[in-house]
Amino acid sequence: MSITRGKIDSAVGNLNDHGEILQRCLEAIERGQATVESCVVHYPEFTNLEDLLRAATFLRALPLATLAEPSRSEIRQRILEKYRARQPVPAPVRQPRFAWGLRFALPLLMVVLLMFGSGAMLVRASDAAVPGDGLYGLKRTVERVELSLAAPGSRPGLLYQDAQNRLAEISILSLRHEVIADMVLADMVLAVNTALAAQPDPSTQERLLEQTSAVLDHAQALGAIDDTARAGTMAMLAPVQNPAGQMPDKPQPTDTETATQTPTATSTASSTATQTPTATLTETATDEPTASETATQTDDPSVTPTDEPISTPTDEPTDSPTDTPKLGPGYAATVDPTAATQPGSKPTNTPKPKSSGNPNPGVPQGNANGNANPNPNSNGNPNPNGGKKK
Amino acid sequence: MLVEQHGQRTVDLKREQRLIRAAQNGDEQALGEIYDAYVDKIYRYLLYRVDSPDTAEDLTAEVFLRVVEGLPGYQNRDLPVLAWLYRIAYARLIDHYRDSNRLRRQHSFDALDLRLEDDMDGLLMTTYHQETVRDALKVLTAEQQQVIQLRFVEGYSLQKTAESLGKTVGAVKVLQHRGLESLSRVLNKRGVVYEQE
Repeated sequence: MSITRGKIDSAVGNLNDHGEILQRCLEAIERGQATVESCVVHYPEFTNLEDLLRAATFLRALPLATLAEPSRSEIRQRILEKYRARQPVPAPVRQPRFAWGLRFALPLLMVVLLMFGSGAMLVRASDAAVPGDGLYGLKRTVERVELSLAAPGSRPGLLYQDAQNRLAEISILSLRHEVIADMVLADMVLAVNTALAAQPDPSTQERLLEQTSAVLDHAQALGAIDDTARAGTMAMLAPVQNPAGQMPDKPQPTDTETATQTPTATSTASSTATQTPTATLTETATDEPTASETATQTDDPSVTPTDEPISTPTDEPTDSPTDTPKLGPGYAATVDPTAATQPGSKPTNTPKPKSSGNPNPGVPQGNANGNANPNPNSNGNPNPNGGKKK
Repeated sequence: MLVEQHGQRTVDLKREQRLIRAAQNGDEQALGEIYDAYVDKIYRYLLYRVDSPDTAEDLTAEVFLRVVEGLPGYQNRDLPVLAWLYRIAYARLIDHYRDSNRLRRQHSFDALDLRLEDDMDGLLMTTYHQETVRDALKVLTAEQQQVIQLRFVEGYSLQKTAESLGKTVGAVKVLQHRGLESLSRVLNKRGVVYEQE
């Protein structure tokens, strides 16, 4: 290679630092701007420069060994297997676990709380809480615990009281001139419908409906809700007629941890689908009443009234709402014509067993002990270099 | 994303940190990408330090199995993943040397299983060179070995070598100079005949 001294000067420069000279020469050689010989000539005072450059050149000329493909794949497979085996098994479903935990933990917690004065004071203080208050979650929890511990005969009364509580909360929020969120309204509807379904006495049902209507009128008058919200809320109420007085006060408990509560509220018995809003609601233990697709405390049979058929009045004219009920963003409002047209049909409560456990059921879990390759020669590569030149 | 650089696959520092975090969070694909990017580098690092390619393969597997074990505790200290991998590989090498001291050294030529179509001369020469380099590298410090490996075997630039090892360019330059000095002394001693350019 013909390299002029001028090129070396510009490529390498005049330097005293041997480390820097070496680096400049290496770069110049790599770029083809210099050779080992030209660099050595240019830096005669750097006595072992040639040895260093030749050693570097020797290393650079070595074939770039790579892992043979069979071994590469085998090792890859082994580490991924180990990786999978070490992944924490995800909780099957978070909320049901909470529900299961709640089933046992909450009564215990409540007992502990009640044993201490502060706990009792907290519980008492939470009585006046409304959605958005810090103690509202505790209030709802207390209600659920009371319900879960209640004897079957006292459930209708408790559910009625819960519905009253929801109505009272709306009244309080109205008096505060707060705009009542759709979720709060929907939560009230769920409580009222649940209570209605549990009441054996039609007069009690009627009284509850009247109270509900009055509370909504009051809220509307105070500007807490608008016309649409009121109409939609009323449309979701499900007056239950039970002439025989056989309305069960103890719906059958769900047999799975997740169930969709579907209080089917309808104000009409007609078959017009658009007039039959169905609100899918869920009780949760959050401070704010929220809705989700999965119930967190579905072990409480008293809040799953749709396990039993809901009869719809067929002998009264209906005030079919023309507006679609306004629902909160977290609620799934679905049109369910069958719910309205088939009073004797089965409820829409369809338990969904959730799968749990290993998300990779087909993944072998073995060979995760990190030991060395049990078959080191299995790649069949005769090349002692273990690979190929790049 | 994997990037082709000097004919080798590599990942930039930000990307590899993202991959590590993803792998820590259960992303199997991210772990696979890390493996694909670095397995050959680790293999070569080991190949020039052990007696046979098979041993290098076994140790490579062990390194990445240790990576899986250490992944949950890995903390980003702005050090490249390769520096972490080299640390693991170095520890595996120490263990290997400790174990192999009790065993008779098995010459890698014994394991040769040549087929007719193989270039015997080429293979022998490659093996000879590998052994030469392996012996020469033994006289270097661990840091010098890493710098020499990245600069002249992997073909990294000075800057990239510094980044990959979490060192300054100046420090890498010094390590490179001293490493080449030691290496050249051993190569001269062994009578390595350099091919003329």
